[in-house]
Amino acid sequence: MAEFKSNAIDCGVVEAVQTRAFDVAVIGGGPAGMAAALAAHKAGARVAIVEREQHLGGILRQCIHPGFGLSHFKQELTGPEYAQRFIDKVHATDIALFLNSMVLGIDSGEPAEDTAVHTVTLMSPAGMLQLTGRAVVLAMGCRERTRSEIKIPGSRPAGVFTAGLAQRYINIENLKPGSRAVILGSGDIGLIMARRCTLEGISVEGVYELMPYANGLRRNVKNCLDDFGVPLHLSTTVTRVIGHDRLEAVEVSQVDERLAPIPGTERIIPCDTLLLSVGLIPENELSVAAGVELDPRTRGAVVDQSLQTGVPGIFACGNVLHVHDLADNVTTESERAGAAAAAYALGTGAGAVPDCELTVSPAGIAGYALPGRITAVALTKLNFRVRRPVDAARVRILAGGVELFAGKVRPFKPSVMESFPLPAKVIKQALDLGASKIVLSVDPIEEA
Amino acid sequence: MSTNATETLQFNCTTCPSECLLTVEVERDANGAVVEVRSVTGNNCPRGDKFAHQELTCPMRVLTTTVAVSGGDEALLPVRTAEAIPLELHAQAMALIRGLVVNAPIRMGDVVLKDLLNTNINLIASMDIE
Repeated sequence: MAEFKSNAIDCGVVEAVQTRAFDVAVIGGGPAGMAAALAAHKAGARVAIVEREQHLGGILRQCIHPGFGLSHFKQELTGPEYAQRFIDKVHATDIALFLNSMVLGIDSGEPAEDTAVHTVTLMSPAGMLQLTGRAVVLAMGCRERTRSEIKIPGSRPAGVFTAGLAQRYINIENLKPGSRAVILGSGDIGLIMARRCTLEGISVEGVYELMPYANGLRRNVKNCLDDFGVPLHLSTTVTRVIGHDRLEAVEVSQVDERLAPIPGTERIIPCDTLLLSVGLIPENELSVAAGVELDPRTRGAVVDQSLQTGVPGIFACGNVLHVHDLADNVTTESERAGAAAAAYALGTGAGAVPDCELTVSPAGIAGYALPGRITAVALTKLNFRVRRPVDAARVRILAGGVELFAGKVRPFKPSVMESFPLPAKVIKQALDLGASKIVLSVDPIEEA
Repeated sequence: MSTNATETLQFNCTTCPSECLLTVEVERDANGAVVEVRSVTGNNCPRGDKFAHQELTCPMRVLTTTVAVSGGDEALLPVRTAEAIPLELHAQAMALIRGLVVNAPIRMGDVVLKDLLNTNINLIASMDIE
């Protein structure tokens, strides 16, 4: 634990760090962590949740809008309502809660050779603590991309926020971020903040989107922009931030097919607030330090069909694994991870010895395919997302150059995370062909 | 003699995650008021038809916002209308809700304001606050 070396550690005081034993330690108390913990508990495991905030619920606590629960609860709930249902379920169990607690590391940052037991080191209000468990579930969620990641030129005044931070200010902290806002990015958070700002008396000049299509769900374009007459400017981006102490204006420009700003199309938009809704990145600092391999496409862990990472006993689910658009999908995925983690920890799971070793790769317009590894010949849920919208395309499954499956032709949108059930017999066919790789390809069909 | 005009609109149904793209043929009078919804296509279930008719006569939305909390472990309570209310009432409802303060503790589902703007719909708490 070189990073934390201090006199106290040198003196052996580290021995005094209290240890609590569990079967499954879940990191994160948002929708992913709660669903995983509940599923692991239901499977008979002793479970702990570590959450850095004072309350369970994660980002759902600030997502006060409706649109949650349509598939999981068959009714439309707000984010806090969706969270509260899980908080109540967690409280009705003996799942141990470590709130206001920050995880510092898993397995002391060294990938253990014999991973019989993992150690989660955390800082709680009562001091440092170690949780042990045969299984760990990573459920830390994601973070927003910032101005520096999209490199908007100009000055650095106050008034430039990520949309989720402004959401936290308005919905949790009772702070008003500004009076006249421009929103860059038509992802769901940007769209929802356009409505939220308008309702709170913050005028929204418009939503600007680099791509030639809206990135958020259709319902959000309709209910958040159309309802309030907020214009959506496609193929347009912010090319300069203007202001000294506080933001005074932004310059926007139209972009060409290669997404490069077109000279001469610049417009100056006076505003005191710029909200950025320009993408989310899985929060995997802890995972990487624990030796978990990431997929450069999802920026989440490479997992197998049971959502186990490359480190035996460490599982991942929710937005830390890949960015979802619906909390309901996070719940479904995390229940699988929690159940698999419990089965691993309790030694009740099938597939302790892998049946096979296949990798899964995306092709065509599929931006990623998850899981990246298949180790069992069983029905496997594949998730993917396309890189651009198409009116007509089909999913194809290939192995060793042979097409094993072709789906029906239909439209695909990047804003929708797709799910595809890969039958056991297709996996068997791939193995019979001697393939080591399955390719999930989404191929646009040319109009006749 | 009829000055009514027929118009074709396209919008998504938001009843469920399928978000069917509806094509709606609507007849309007000289003042632009809807006389008749002539046809709805593109919906994969009957709820799309119902949604299109509602949308053209009186669009209904759930309103969500926050109210100030006194004596709780959070500054704000997220609230919602128990059911959808007319979209045109949202601005007026916000003006009314803005002045409210509720005392903790509060349970999800507790009524924060009864019969919001005579809609017969209550404003309720979205979350517990201790």
